[in-house]
Order: sequence, then structure tokens, then C-alpha cells
Amino acid sequence: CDVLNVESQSAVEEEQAIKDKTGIEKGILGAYTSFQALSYYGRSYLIFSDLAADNLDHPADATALEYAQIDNDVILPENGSVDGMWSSAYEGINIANNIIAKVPDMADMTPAEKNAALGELYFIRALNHFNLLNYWGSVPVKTSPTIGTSGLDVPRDPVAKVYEQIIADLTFAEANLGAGSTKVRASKDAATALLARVNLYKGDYAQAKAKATAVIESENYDLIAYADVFADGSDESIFEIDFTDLNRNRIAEYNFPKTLNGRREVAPSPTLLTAYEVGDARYPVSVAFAGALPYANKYNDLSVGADNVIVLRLAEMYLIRAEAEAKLQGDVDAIRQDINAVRTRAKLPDTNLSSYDGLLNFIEKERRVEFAFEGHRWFDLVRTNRAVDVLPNVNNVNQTLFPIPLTEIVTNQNPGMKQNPGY
Amino acid sequence: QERMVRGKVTSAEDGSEQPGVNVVVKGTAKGTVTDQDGQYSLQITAADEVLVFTFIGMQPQEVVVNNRDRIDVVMQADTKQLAEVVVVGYGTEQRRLMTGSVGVVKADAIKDLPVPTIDGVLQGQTTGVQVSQNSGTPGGAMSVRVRGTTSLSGSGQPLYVIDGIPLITGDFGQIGYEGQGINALSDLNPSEIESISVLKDGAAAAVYGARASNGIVLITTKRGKSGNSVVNVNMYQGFQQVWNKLDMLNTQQWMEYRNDLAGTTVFTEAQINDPNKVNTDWQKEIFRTSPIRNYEVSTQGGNDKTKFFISGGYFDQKGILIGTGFKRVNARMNVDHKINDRLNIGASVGLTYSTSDRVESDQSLHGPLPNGISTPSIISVYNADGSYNQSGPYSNAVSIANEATNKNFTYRTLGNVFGEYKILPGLSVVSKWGADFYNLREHAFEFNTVQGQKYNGLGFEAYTNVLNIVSNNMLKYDGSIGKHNFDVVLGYSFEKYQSRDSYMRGQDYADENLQYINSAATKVDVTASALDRGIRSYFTRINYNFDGKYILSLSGRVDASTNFGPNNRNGFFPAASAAWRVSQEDFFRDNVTAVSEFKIRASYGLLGNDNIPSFSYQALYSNGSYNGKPAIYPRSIPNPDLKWETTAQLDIGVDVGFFADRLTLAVDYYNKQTRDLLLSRPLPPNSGFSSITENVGELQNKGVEVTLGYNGPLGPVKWSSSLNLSANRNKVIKLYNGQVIDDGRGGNRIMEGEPVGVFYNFKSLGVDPSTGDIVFEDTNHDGEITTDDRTIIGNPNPKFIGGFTNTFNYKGFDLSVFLQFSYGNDVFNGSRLYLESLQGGDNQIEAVTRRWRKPGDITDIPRATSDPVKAAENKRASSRFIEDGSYMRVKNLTLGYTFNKIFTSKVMLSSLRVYASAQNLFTFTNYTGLDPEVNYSGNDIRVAGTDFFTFPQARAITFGVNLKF
Repeated sequence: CDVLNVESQSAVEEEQAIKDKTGIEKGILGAYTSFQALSYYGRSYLIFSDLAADNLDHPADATALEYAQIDNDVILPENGSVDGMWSSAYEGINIANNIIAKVPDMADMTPAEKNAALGELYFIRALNHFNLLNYWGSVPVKTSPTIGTSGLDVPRDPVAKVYEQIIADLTFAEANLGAGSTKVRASKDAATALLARVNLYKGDYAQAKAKATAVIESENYDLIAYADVFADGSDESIFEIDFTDLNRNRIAEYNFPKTLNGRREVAPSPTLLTAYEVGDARYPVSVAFAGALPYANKYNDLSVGADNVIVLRLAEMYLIRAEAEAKLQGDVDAIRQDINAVRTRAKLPDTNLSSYDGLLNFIEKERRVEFAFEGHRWFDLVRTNRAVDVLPNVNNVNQTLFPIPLTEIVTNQNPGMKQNPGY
Repeated sequence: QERMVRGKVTSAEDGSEQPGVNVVVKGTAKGTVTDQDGQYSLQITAADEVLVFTFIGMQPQEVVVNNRDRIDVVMQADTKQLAEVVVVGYGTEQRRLMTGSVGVVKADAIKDLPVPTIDGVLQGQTTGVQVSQNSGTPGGAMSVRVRGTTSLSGSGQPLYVIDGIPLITGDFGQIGYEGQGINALSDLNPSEIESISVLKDGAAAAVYGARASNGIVLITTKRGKSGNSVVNVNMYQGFQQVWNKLDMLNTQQWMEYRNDLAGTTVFTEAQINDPNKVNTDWQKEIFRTSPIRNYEVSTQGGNDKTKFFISGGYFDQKGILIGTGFKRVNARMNVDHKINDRLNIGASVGLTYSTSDRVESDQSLHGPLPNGISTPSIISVYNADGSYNQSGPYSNAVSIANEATNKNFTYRTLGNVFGEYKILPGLSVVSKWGADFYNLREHAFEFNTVQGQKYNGLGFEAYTNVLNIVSNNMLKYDGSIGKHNFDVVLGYSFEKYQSRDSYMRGQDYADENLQYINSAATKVDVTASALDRGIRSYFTRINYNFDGKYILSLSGRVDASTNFGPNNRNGFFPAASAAWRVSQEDFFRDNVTAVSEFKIRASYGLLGNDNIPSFSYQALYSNGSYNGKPAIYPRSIPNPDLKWETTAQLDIGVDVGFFADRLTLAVDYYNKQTRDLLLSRPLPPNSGFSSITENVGELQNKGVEVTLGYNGPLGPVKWSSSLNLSANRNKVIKLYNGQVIDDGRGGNRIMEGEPVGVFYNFKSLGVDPSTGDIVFEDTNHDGEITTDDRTIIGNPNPKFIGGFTNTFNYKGFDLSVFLQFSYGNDVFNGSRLYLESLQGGDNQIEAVTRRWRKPGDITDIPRATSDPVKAAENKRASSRFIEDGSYMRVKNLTLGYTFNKIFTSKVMLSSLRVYASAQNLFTFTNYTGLDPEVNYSGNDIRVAGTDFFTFPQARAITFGVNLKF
């Protein structure tokens, strides 16, 4: 009786897994799955940017201590949810790198197919690196798959190098990806749109403006009624993360009040509610009430959690172009037009501000309400160095970077893996 | 020419007739058996000269016929046979000739315990075995550690072997309840057990090779005996209660606290003083007095050819927490048959059906226990209209317990068949084939709960099907050449393990009465998976003794396990041991008469552990889905060099008996060094992986065990007493690059130079009288409190553990008192993190009434503040929540009365005993939580000693009767 001859029934050996084009296709989809993690777009990542800033609060009667730390902007390096974001992003990078390394060897793929596959994987890698950069500052750039346990003690790379890699990856993706048949996978426009955001954050306003313009002028997307924006695959969406009943998000669960069977770990802050102008069409879509209790309602599939989460949408391109133009001290009319495009859709009157500073402040406020609960607010305040001024809990610029998770600090022996100051 | 010989066989001890004695004509197959009155008659011929009389436990006799036609025989007890026999791996040994360290628990010691599981009855019974109930969940899992924590991977549980067949153990539940796990061991009825042997040292355990390092628990079930058939009826019935409750705030104290917290008047003076205000004792609502009952019937008997043991039992226990319970129906049949002088066969079959009702607990926001305790008394259970009041901070505890269904069903078949063929005198071949079929069905459904409403009905259905097939094949030799005695076993064994499981979750139910997934409109998380595993082994043991004085034993096993890669598939685990029975030497026997036994023994052996996830050595891709299509991704970093971890164990012991073994003492010292520690080593997350299973690290356990026994008269009272004490010192010697491993709510850490799982966290210096806030120690003196200021603040490992049993017999009365204790272990009381949070809507324990109110107050409880940063800091996990978890329990107290024979024979019984028993009657502890015996995450080695709303133990009072006829 040969009891030793057994094979895994739940996983396939590496050599068998990826042999051809279909294997690469499955691998690319595998790289997207890390975005679905609860610590990532499945919940925490999406919520934390608003929670660390002033769009969401952790109510006094809520129980998740890790969320309380984010709200208080007093984050311990052992915070498991913060660790989860870091780990999920690097998991996605590693999956992408694994598949990237295999693409060149596939005999049944044409050079164009290979480049398209690489483009999609580079996009995934870039988005992950960018998300890391925004919370932690300088982070290790990873461009090769983890093989064995050597080479894991890596230093943090300078912010400039992280940007360089992100932009290189996205530029390749932009050049090699097509229009795409679904919004839940990267397309040429998704790469361009992400390049617009990356350049804005980096401060390369000319590039930000150019990329935003390219997406707007592609006319592939529309500023549709705000209430329809958050439906899966809406005309405004450029790129979104797929969630289904098998791969659920738990966003609504943490937002909804207990009377509606949620956990209410987070709730819209009073200052956000007052930031909406009277008549703003975005307000009833963004915030719902259970009695007197407000709650975020953009992602509201409490039961199944199958609503897709938008990463990039057209309104952001307008506001990026407006902000870039203002930073470039460019055409005031053009700036106003872009802002007003977003405001008109929100059923609000046009702005006729004329100073660049005034417009920049106005854009900041406009972004706050336009993208409330979509994970922008913290990054907006941090990249413009406004967090210390605006956020009561942030008294020190050290607080604008999250602590490197303790697991990385403890396990990574490289002297260049240093904790952010203040932790 | 034939003629008849008759006669009567009696016992030398009391002159009684001996039924069932074999009477055989020497050298032939001709023979008979004595009847009820010890009489026999046998046809013989003139050529038949000698009759042989044999009976188990008696010295065989040969009688020359010599033309007599009546031969009466008096049988003498065989002291050699009566000597205590201990079950060891793949055989038995006489205790006096043993060289290894084996803890033995006999049926007698556990017969009255109202404890339904094997691991439960082991508690406190023998040295070196630490059993802690993870929780009071009826039928739930326990942590069993033999001589400390030897491994950092897997469960750390010993290998259980029943009648030679390794048992499927562990928690296969797919619907997770965190620490309230299902226990596959609970399918065995302890009353079917004849004896339990715990193999602790290298000499005893190495014959189980790659699975031996956590110790081996050998369970032997009862078998038939030749002689009159005996029917045993055992019944008990009783009730259980929670033995301890927490002192929580009453409504008035709650209102005052809320006013203080808010800094304004939330509740007016009138409200506070309103005599009609709601004041719910939530613990009264969730705990109950619950029944426990057990009925069993067994019969055993047989003759020299066929023996049987048949039993059936029914056990029914409702939990002290509403919504919980455990029920078991089981049957067993063990048969032995002698086909002829050379061939014996036998079979054992155990069947079990058990069900348990569980509730969510611990980690969940939907557990009756945490929710009940955390709900302020100001919240009523029901609204005025009779509906559940859901206005508390968590969903209504009573509603969860009453409305949510969480049932498990196990269907278990455990059986083996064996044959033994005597090739030559002393030489035999044995083959035993066994199977363990374990089927678990889990069914959960809720509709009228908060969670149920969220999903418009939420249901789960999970099936687990596990099969383990085992074949043991052995050649055995037992013989003597002069004073040289040999006992040799040579064996080959293999095991095939298969598990298949499926899991479904459904939402959106058509109707609250339709509980199964076919009525769910939305089906999510539908999965099924499969796992195959195998192990192939060759083993041997050679026991030699000279004249019962000098004893030597060698054993070894070669295991090939599919858990390891091709580079390291085979492991060799040898052991050697020796003993010297000084008391058998003439010089000793002649001079030291008070000492009846004096044995010195030593052993050294290598033990393995293969308890890691299967296929960790391979580079594998896992499956998922994205955009409705299959997706794959690398699962783990392969480690082709993966191999077993090895524990080298040295054991030195002495066994001493005084006054004809009336007083006995056994002392063992052991030193276990574990190397190639299998560790799920955390990786830098930048790798994209969280951990890799590797052979890294070293661990050490050293300890001393003492057993002191007394068996004899105390005036007119017969007294037997056994005290066992074990002290284990555990130390992590080496980890990968010195890297620590952190886990758990209390900050359990595995670090070099310290015991496994020490609490590593902030050190609280108490409440600053000027601010009312907790001050933490700035251990690195850098002027700020950061993660770097954490330090060792406690140790969950006990300094020593033990048990003390005393049994007194006087006339018909028997009294036994069983104490069990653990000393020097710390517990992280994680419940207090919420119950003393002075924040949020959780109910608080009464201790918060002494909270800091104004500058100058000296107290241990910080202020109630609405400042979220300060409040969060004050309740930060720290030494403030570490408590001494030492305890001593009167685990069991039983008083019984056996009616005298004259009375019982009148009612057609051969024996009648009634008794009353109390389990967990008293507990002495300084621990402030519900129960000091806690493990919130079940068996997980890394997070020992943490209490987080853990289901407490029950105090059980039972009344029973034992009948025999």
C-alpha cells in the first residue's frame, strides 16, 4: 500500500500552474485578488484615509481599537489593520512580479500579447507601490518575485525612486494596454488616469494636467448623475475593484449603524456634514440617516458586500486638471470650468473665484465632498502639507506618515528598514 | 478404553469454587471448563496421564491422573501474573520491569467523575500532564501538554492512540467559534476505558517516532474476561451551576458613572433615585442551573475461547450558559476469540453519535456571554411589547442564545480487527487493521437576531469527512534463556489519512422556519476541499532483563511522512534505556527490609514532530476568482528541505516502595532539548508572504515530577492516596535570527531566553494621583512611551501543577477527594480591557466605582474621561490586566455507599453502590475573572493564558448509582 504517494488537492504545483497564455491570464487575475482583502479595498484601506482625516470619526461606543487609533492619529506600529494594508499591497506586488517573470517564456504569446499582459501587471504593481508610498513615505520598491527566503531584508527606497518606478510602470502600461472590456481590469485610460494622480501627488503639475486632459478628452467617460456613479461599471468609472458574493467587501458593515445591523465602527464627522453646501446633490447620495445617526452610504451592500469599489473616476480628472492648472498659475477660466463641471453635476452654482490660492482652497473643499468616503481626504491634506493645520489630532508632521508595521521592522534585518520618526 | 474423571476446582485464597477453569489433557486438544460450581467431568483414556488446569491470574497446575477418577484441585493466585501490567506502545510491560516514564490512569480513578471526555479525566491524575480546559463549553476542547510545550507549531497536543490505532483528534469545525472548538476526542466515552497510559519519556515514546515529541496517550478499552457474565449499570444525574459571577455595576452606579464620564447630567437625580428603574442582572439572564445526566449499561464475560465486552451509553449535558449543550449516544463491542491454540482473533468496534449546541463566543460580537456581561443593567431583556430589546451596545445576548441555531453532529465509527498467530512458543505474528471514520455535520441558522436580520436570514451548512486507516503488523518474541529474559517487537505500520470537507453559506431566506440552504436566495462561500496524507513506519523494541534485576531496552522507529519533502522524507528515532532494581540484590534485600522496591532508571531517546501543514515543502499556487473567472497566485515559499523537528529527551528516575509497596515514591528528572524546531517563521511582509514553515530554533523543557502514593490502613479505614507534582521550566533557546514572534490580545511573545508565550507589553505603574491617568513605565528612558517600552510583564506557564487524590473506605462507605492545582501562572484578563474601559457603552465591573475622581485620589482605576486619546491610552493592554492565575480546585468530591452482599443478593444484585459527587466544588484563586482555567484561542500555543469572555467551568453536583448483576 503506497500511502506516501499523495498530492495536494487544493493547490497546483508551480510548473503546472503557468505554462501558457491561459496560465498567465489566471495569474493576472490572481494579482488583482489582493486588492479585495478586507485590509485593502475590501474595507480598511478605503476607510482609513477618511478616518485619519476629518471625514469619518470612530464613535465613542464603537469597539475596534485599531480604528480608534487611526481616528485619534495615535497609531501604534503593532496596529493589525495598518499591517494588513502593508502586507496586502506587497502581496499584490509579489504576485504581479511572479507573473511578470514568467511572461517572457510563454511560447504561445505574441510580443503584443506579452506587452499587454506586462502592462496590466505593471499597472497593478504601480498602484500597490503608490498606495504604500502615500501612507508610509519611502518604502521598498520590489520589482522581482520573492524566490526562497534570501533577499528579503531590503531597505526603504527614497521617495523619488518609488515615484520613478511607479511612473515607469504606468508609462509602459499606458503604451501597451488597450481600451479594455471591463472596468475591473486595468486599461490604457486607467494607466493614464493613475499617471495623472501620481504626477499631481508628486508635484509634476504639467504632467498631471496632460494626463488628466488625455482621459477627459478620450470621451470614454461621462459625468453622470451622482446617484448612478457608484453602481458597478458606471459610465464615470475608469477603474474599479471587483467584489462579488464570493469575494465580499465589508465596507457597509463598518459604516452602517447598529439599528440597520451594521457595526458602526466609523461615522461621518460633523464637520463633513456641514461642509456640504445647501442643495448639494452629492449629500443625499453620500450620507444616509438612521433616525438621527448619519452613515456613509456610497457602498451600501451590507448583505452581500458585492458592490465594486471605484479607484479612478472621471470627476477626479477634472479636479486634478484644475488643481494642476492652478499650481501652474495657468488659465483661471479653465480652472473654473473644470471645477464647475463637477459642481454643475452636483447641482451647485458655478464658482467665480479668481485667485489661485482661493481656487486651490476651493478645490480642496470640493474634493472633500466629491470624494467623501472614497479614500482621498488624508492623502489630499498630507500631500499639500495641510494636515497639521486642518486636522485637530495632527499636531506634528511626524503624524502624517503611518508607522511601518512592527512585523516588517522586527523581521527585516536591513539597517535601512527604519521606523518613521515619532513611533 | 475410556473412563470419566470428575472433580472440583477451588481457590486457595478463600476456598470458593472456581468456574471457568480450563482442564485439558496434556499434549492433546481434549479438555473442558469448570461449571458455575467449579465442577468438571472429562472423558479420558488410559494413555492420558496428566491434566493441566489453567485460569487467568492463577498458577497453572499439572496433575498426574494416576488411575484416580476424582481429582480436586486448589488453584493458587499467580503473583507474577497479578503484577501490574502497563500498556505501552505496541505491547504491555510489567510495571516493575519498566525502564521508561509512563503515567497510568486506571478506570477506577475516573469512574465517578461527571466528565464526558478523555482529556478531561486526565486532568490532575498523573505527573507531567498539564490539562487545561479551554473553556467550559460542554464537550469542548482542552489543551493537553505532556512535559511542557515542546513545539511551537501545530497544536502541541499529544498523539492519542486507542487500542493501538492512532485517533483523529482536533477541531474540524468549519464554523468558527474561537476557543469554543469542537473536540473530536469527545466522541469517546471515558467509562469504556480500562486504562490510559501517558508515554512521557524517550524510552516509552520513541516507538511512535515522528509523532512522539508531544507525548503519547494510549487508551485501552475494556475487554471481556472469562467467567460469569457480569452486567454493570451506571447512572448519574445532577445539575450544574456557574460557581462564580462578576460583580457588575447596578443601574444606579451605571448612571452615576455615565454622568461622570460625560461631565454633564445625562441622568438626573430623579432618574438615579427612581426605585422602578430597570436593573437587569444580565449574568442571571445568561447563566442557568442546567441538568447533566448519564446512563450506561455494559456487560462482559466469556469463556476460554470467546470473550466479550458490550456497552452502551447516553450522556446529556446542558450548558450553564443558555444555548449550549452536549449529547452523546455511544456503543462499543469488543470481542476476542481463540480459534485454536495458535490463532487468536479479535475485533473492537465503537460507534458514536453526538450533538452539541454551541454559541458564538470570545472574539465575536454575537456571543451570549460577552454580550450579556457587557450589557449595562439599565437595558432590559425585553421591550414592553415582548420583543427583544436591542438598544444595548451589542446585540441582545438572550436573543442570540434563543434564536440562533448552532448545532454540530458527529457520526463516528472507530474499529479494528486483529489476528495473532503463534508460530513457535514465544514467537508470534500479530496483524491489526483499524479505521477511524469521523463525520461532522455543522448546521447554523439565525433569522430573528441582529446578525440574522442583517442578512435576512443567515445559514451555514458544513460537512467534514475524515478517514484514517491504520495497519500495524508485528513479529513478537517473548522468551527466556536461563535468567536472561527477552521481549522483542519488530513491526511495520502504515497509515492513510483522507479528509474531505464542504462548506456553504446562505443568505436571504424565504422563511424563518426554513433553515437549510435550499431556502436561501443567495449562496455565498460555497467551497469544498480535500487533503490526503500518509505515513509509513518500521519500528522495533528489544527489552532484555537479567533475573528481573538489570533491565535494558532499545527501541527505534523509521518514519516516512508525506508532510516532508523528498529531501528529508525519512526520520529515524532511536531510544535506549536501562534500569537497575537494587531491591532485588541480595545485599539490599537482606539489609534493608523496609524498602520493598528500589529501582533506578535512565533513558535517552529522540522524538519527532511532523505536525505542520501538508505540502509546505512544495511550490504551490492557490486558486481564487476575479471578475468571475479563475485566478491563481503563489501560496507560499516552498521549503524542499523541510523535515521533522527532533526532541532529545533524557530522563532519570527512581521508583521506591516501602513496607511491601504500601508507600510508593517515584521521582523523575527530565531534560528535553528540541532542535530543528518547526516554526511558521514570520517573514518580512515586503516578500508578499506572511510566514514560511522552516526548521529553525531550539527549545528546552526541564522538569521534575514526583508521585507519592499510599495504600493501606488508617486505623479501621482503608486509605489510598496519591499526590503528584510536576514542575516544568520551558525556555526558548534559539529562534531564527533571534526574531521574536508576537501574538494575542495580551501580547504573548516568543523570544530567546524566555518561556514560550511570555506576556510582553507595557508596564503600568498605576494611576497618577494628579491626573487620574495610567502611567506607563518608560523602560528605555527616552522620555516618551513608544512600542519600544514594552517589556516582559508576565508568564502564562505555571511554576508547578499537580493533583492530590485521597480515597477512604470504611465498611460500606467510600469517600474520595480530588484536588487539582496550578501555581505561578499569569493570566491576561482581556475582558477587563472592556469591562474597565471607562469608555464606550460597555457595562463595567463594580471595581470602577473606586475610579479616580479628583486630584489626590489614590486608586488603581483611572478616571472616566471623554478625551478619546487619554481614554484609549488608559485602557491600553498592559500589566494592569495581568493577574495571578494560580488556583487550587476541589475538582471532585465523591461520597459513596456500597450495600452489603446479604442485602444485594436479596434484590438479585451482586453489587449495589450509590454515591453523590461534586465537581469543581470549591476553587481557591485570586484571579478576578470568571474562571482561572482559560485559553481564549483554544489550543494555540502562542497565545496561552488569555481570558477574553471565556465560558467558565461549571460546578456540577451529581447523584449516581452503580449496579452489578
